[in-house]
Amino acid sequence: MIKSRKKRSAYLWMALGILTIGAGWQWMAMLYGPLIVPSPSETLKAVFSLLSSLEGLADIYQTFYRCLIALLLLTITAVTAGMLAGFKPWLVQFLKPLNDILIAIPPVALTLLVIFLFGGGAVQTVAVAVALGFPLLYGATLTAVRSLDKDLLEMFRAYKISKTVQLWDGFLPAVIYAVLPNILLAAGLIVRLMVMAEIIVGMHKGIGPALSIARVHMATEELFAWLLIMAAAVLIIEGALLYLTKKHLMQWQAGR
Amino acid sequence: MLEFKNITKSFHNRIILHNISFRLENSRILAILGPSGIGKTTILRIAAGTLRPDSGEVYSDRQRVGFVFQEPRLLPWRTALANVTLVLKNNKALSGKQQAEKAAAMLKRLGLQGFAHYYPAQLSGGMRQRVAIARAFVLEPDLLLLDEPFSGLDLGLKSSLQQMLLELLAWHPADMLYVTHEPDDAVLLADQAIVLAGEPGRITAGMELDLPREQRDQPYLHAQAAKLTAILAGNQKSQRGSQKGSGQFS
Repeated sequence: MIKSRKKRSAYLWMALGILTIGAGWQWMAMLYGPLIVPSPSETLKAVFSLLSSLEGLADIYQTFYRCLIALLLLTITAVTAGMLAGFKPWLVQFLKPLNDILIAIPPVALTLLVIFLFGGGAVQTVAVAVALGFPLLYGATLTAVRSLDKDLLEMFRAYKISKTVQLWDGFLPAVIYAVLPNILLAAGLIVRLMVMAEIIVGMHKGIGPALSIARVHMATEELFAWLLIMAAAVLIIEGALLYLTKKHLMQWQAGR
Repeated sequence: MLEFKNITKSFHNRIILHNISFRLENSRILAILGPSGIGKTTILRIAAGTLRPDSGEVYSDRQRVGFVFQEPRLLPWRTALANVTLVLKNNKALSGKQQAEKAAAMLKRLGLQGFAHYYPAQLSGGMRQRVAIARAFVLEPDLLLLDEPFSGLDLGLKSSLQQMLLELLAWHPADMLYVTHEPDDAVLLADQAIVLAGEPGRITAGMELDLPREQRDQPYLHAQAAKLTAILAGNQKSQRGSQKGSGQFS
């Protein structure tokens, strides 16, 4: 009862937050005019028009397809590297310079460097997103391996559990469950990075190029519509992943 | 048979165990008593092979070792059934289905048939410890190592788990090293007991509990527990005194 009241109150505050943004947006639209700031209703009309056109849907598909590939590649490379580094201290030192460079380098600079070295293309946009997301997942995996329950490791040794069983039943689930929230963060990060990379690399299809075209044509309602679609998509992806994660995790975390 | 001969172990240049010798004959239960931090768990770790002694020798012809820790040490992301099956995965003679059936039968024996698919967090403390006992017994062990497995449980639960343990041992006899700091627990379960004391820890006393377990009545248990309590109290008093010599027990 108390829980549902708290939940209702949280939703109420969230709705109030959205209404405040909407009101501010409407005020700005009235102040600057539709050529610079389109009103929320005009933007929503543009959203529906984009979502009902084949071209708009193709752009969304292209970007999210690249994001999915990037997320898969990022998870495999960063989690594998983090796990190996967790067991081999020399690998932590070996990967440190690369990790530090990827943390320090601005995303735009890395994208430009990739274009300069390898030219433009879908592979390059995916590579940029993977490289920039790497430190987040690698660091999280390394921390997860380092904080593995020592008592469980002793139990494995006492029962002489084989290395393969230890990996599949012990290490991998422990690491994956610890890293899942970061994979969720990485998913949102990758969408943002992908759109940026698509614009800089100069792709022909995707949300990034669509944003560019809207800017060039001064189609501000379309520009705002794409931003709205992107924000909604990131929120939906994060929300869906969070829901799935919680649904699965809560089974074994129930009662904790 | 398990035999410790002049075992010494140190951590970070501090000697924890000094010159420990004892012999555990087939299907006997040896209780190890002593204050916290004396090295009782270290003895179990050496017996399990997870720790190597600095000097001395361990003789063991025991292949299958079951270990029940102070905490259940279950994989939180695996169900009770999967946790018990885990230790059977090395046994290539059993198919996956046979392993699961064997684990399920063991859980049933411990009264957990309805909870096989529950995760550890969904079980009570006593149930989790029963899963840990099932995991140790499903191996049909030659040697059982118990590290204060009933500490932290209430009196009723402890008593029912001790009874369950005795029934399991009647079904599958095994040598057992039983670490406890409760003389009452030791005299109820063990055939012999050793007491550790001093710094570094060494065996200061040994005691045989000759009467078969089923014949031990309350007066006998009280009398033996009182003897052990007196030894432990005496050790605490002499702790401040000299710490020379080493105990041996077989």
